[in-house]
Amino acid sequence: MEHIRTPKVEQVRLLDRFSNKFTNGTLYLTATHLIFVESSSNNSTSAAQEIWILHHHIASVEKLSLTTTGCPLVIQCRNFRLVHFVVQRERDCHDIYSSLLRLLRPVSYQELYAFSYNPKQNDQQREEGWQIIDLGAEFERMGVPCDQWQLTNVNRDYKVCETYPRDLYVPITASKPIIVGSSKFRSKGRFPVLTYFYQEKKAAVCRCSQPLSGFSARCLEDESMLQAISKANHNSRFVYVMDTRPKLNALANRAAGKGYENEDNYSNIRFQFVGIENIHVMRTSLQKLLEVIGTRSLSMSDHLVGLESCGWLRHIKAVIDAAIFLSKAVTVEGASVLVHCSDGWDRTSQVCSLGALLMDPYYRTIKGFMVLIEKDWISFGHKFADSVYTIYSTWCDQLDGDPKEVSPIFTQFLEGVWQLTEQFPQAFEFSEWFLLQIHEHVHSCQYGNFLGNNQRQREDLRMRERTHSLWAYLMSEKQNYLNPFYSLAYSETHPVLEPSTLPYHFKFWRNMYHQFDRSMHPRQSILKTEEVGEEATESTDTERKVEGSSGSESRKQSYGDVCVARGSCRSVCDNLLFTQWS
Amino acid sequence: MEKSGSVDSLGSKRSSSRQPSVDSLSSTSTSRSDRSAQAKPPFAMSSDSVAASAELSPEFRVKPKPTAKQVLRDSDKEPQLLPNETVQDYAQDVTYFCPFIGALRGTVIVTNYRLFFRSMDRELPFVLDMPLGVVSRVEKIGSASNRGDVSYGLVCKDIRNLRFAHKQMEDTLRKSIFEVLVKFAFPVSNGLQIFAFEYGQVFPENGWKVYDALSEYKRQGIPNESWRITKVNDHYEVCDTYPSTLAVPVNIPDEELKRVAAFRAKGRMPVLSWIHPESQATVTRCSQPMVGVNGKRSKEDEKYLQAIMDANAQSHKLFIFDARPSVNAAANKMKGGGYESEDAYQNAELVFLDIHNIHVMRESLRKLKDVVYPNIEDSHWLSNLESTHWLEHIKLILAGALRIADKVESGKTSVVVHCSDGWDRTGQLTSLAMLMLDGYYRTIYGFEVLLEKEWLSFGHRFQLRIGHGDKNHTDADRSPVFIQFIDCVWQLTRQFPAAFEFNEYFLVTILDHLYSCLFGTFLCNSEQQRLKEEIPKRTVSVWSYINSQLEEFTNPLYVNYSNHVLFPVVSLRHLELWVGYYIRWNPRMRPQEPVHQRHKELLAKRAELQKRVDELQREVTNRSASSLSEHAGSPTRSITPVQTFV
Repeated sequence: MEHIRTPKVEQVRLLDRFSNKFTNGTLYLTATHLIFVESSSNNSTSAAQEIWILHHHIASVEKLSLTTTGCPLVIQCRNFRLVHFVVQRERDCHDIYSSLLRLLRPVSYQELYAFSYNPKQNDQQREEGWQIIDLGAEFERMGVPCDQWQLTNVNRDYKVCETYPRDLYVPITASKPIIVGSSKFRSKGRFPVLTYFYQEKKAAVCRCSQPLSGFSARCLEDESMLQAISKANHNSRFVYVMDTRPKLNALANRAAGKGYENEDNYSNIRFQFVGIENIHVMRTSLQKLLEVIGTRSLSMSDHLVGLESCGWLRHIKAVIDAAIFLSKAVTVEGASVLVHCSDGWDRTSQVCSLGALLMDPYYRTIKGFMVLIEKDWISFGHKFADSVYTIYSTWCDQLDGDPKEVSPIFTQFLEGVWQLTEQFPQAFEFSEWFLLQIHEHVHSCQYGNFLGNNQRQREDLRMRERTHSLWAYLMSEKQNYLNPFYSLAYSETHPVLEPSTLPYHFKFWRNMYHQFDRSMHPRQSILKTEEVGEEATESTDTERKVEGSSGSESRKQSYGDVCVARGSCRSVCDNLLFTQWS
Repeated sequence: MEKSGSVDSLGSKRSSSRQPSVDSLSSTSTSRSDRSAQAKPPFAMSSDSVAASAELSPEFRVKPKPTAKQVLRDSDKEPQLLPNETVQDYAQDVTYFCPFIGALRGTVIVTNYRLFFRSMDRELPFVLDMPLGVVSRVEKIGSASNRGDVSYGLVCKDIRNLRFAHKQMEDTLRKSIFEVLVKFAFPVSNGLQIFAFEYGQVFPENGWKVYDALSEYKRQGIPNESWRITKVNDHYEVCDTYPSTLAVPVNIPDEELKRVAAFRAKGRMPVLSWIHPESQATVTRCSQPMVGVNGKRSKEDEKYLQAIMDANAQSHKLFIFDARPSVNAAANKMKGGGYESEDAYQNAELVFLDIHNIHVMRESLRKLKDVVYPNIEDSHWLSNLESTHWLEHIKLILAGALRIADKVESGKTSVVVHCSDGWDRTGQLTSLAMLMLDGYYRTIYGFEVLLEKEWLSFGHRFQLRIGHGDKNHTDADRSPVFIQFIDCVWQLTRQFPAAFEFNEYFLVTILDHLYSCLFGTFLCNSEQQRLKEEIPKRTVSVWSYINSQLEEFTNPLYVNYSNHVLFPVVSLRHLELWVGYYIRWNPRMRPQEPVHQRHKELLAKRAELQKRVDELQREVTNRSASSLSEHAGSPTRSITPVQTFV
């Protein structure tokens, strides 16, 4: 590729983040990856370490001033990997630096890895991969359409709302004029639509964006839209309207002609603020968290106090609190709930998806979790393109063209799920590794799922024909993501989870933020053991077992590090490190 | 097919077993009393039934749901008494102020072993069942108030406080039930016998046979060409806090040993704790040398340490780990103690590990208790936790043990570990290092051996540190040294979830019976005292109880990594507060799901699968034998990894 000036640099030093250790090796720059290969001479016992960094994962590259050993190059990645190289010659360093600067800012979609990634599948397999998740079937599973809810074709051509999907579910009584009228009164045209239907109580979870109410504006269509939602549920005389923002922010929005629903204008609503901070607060909080945990010689008190003061865990708690409120309103009171924030694609997605996760055991399975992300995040237009990688921020007309749309909203959602899995070890079919893998690929741009900001963009780019689906890949690797403690029976007896939100239940997610810091790894991962557990399950299959060696061989390979460690000398405990992580 | 079938059957069992606890408090407590009636061994430490530490109490059995009538009848019953347990007093109309659900009225029964409270005025009976051994202090709160109530506060050793109140007795001559309680909670101070001596339950396993010094040394390969077993302390004459069987370097005669002992505090000379099976590097333990202000030296002691170094051919260096902060070690010189000077001990390198003394630890745990019990301040949780420094102490201990293990394993160097007297911090360090170095100690039996050896036989002063049956709660000798050690072990199990044969419940059970005084294991201060008191003859060992129901204590994820050395990452990023122990009384802190039951199901499943693998393996061998040599080698080899992990 024309941007690569120096494809290979030898004698590069990789510094460990938390100690004075370092390794020497060679740096390779390819069209898609930056690869560091440890020179194998220094220790023969373990295989040479290789680090592959996808260009899309790189958040920033920094060239520090020259030192006696060479020119330092610090690369910060979006999956929280931080690598610190020292390149001997400044010219090499500069070449790599400037190449990377160019490579990590693709100017067109065509440069994204997903469009060149080819996992050796034919078109049919690719198509099948995309068909794994079918949202129509998902709504059918919930029992929609039914006598109160119907599929509307009003957004067939993305005319009413271009950030919504084509297929939308609305109350039977909401006529087309009502929908169109309502959408005009909602920010970005995101009118109230169904996202989850709780069949048992016929209660609905709907989502939208803030109303353009300003200080006094009203919209009769919007009022009848909410009325229709309320009427569709016979169990409750009112509908909850959850504004997930802090009240102050909502008030400030009024000055801009936006705002929140006035209880006087809407009959039968109960209005509630939840108080989740906006994306900028979240971004700053995460930055502070990373600063705290990145400190080299961190004392116990700095760690605990830093963790508290950065507020990250408090924000996670706020999101989960909101989800609990939602789930209680629906499952206990049987009331329908309408959730919104400002635009209805960040906090709203978090709350709707976590709420559904609490209410419906299906979403706690591997397949169900994919469906949940596809539904509440991808199809309802969470701006993955803006919030996880900055490249097309020019498309975004927000904040006076400020490209600062990057925010860890989805990461926060995954962490919320992780905190729940810690509280309910038996309730989730998947393990932590599954969440980490999704997080990895949200940023990798290797699969088409998370590219673009909404369905329409994805269709314009013909994503389904040109890229592959992450879900197909994850499905094929399902064995690796199973949680050994998962109990079907538990899901049956506990369909609705009621998490506790005491401070202790919110822990620092070490495997997310220190995933790539080898020196911070536990020497033995539960993941390893989980795989082992799955082995046990697998071996019940008589045929496979008897047919012989090929399967077992490959298995042997994947657990090779453990086996090697068993066989060889005692001190190579390091081999227990699950090397496939790096 | 088979797979899904088994999941289903587990599932149905589960759902029925979960029923009681979900439904109501009443059925929970009923299922509890059912359990205690049914279970052979007594469960010494029941929690508040609401707090019912669901995670750790093995109470979920398959039971039909009890009818309301049964509930009533059950609640009238007394607690299920243990052998030789007798009711001492009984009082009605007592109020228990539960910090989590509020005031409850009910009856209190005091036996010679437990305090039993059952609430009456609620539809849902509430039960508090607690061994008296955990009571540290009983105090009368205020005088008789205008309503004529007398209030008592019980401060417990296991991170909780209880408060009761009852009406002022009209008959002033009659003793309050809490005065009776005081008598039986502190039997030692009241000239009574600790309950362990009366309790005569017979278990299928005999825990007193778990540890035998000679066979443990033999397991380690002692005696060998450089180490011998000495009988010099057979009658505890050289050192009364040491065990009778000691392992010392071969070329030091008994006479010289006595002179070495004379130079060490309390006569605790350096003796072998553990030897590396390959490199012959050793872990030895002792107390501080009696250097004093004048820098006294002992030729014998110097020669002795040289002999320890020479016994390991791999290295020409010896590391002396002094567990104390260097300031404290220096201060000890004023009292005649001190540390080895590097001039006197050539080839030895002295390292201070900066672990604080028992008083600092006691204070730290006290603060921790303030932070976690009864209520937790939500907004400052982490900074409050920080202010206790508890995790910092845990970190220092683990870091010290890690350095020792690393020197022995990677450096192939022998180490000497001591603190002041060599029975607190030294025990923590040697036993943790041994746990890292030797997979045997990570099994259930092995861990019992480790405790018997490094803690009990080497004279950790359990009686003084815990104060069994002693009412002097301000005793400066009390300290949570052992709790700290178990906490460190728990931290290790978090980092190596598959390396330990035992589960969290095992550790909690050990700590519960550390206080309960039901078993004789943790009574007395030294092996000599235990022999004198005839503890093994007159009491039951806690290992008898544990080993008779191993399935409760087994970790289903355990994979035998016996040939591995564990090097934990001693980073604060990995250390957590042990909520399952310190905050288990708070019902809001209780884990949402009892994983304990699920663990047992997994264990059963694993056993079943193992059986199947064995069968299939046999089948494979048969087939390959019949189908010629073409594939003969591969099937058996390919099975190896599977077998390893199952």
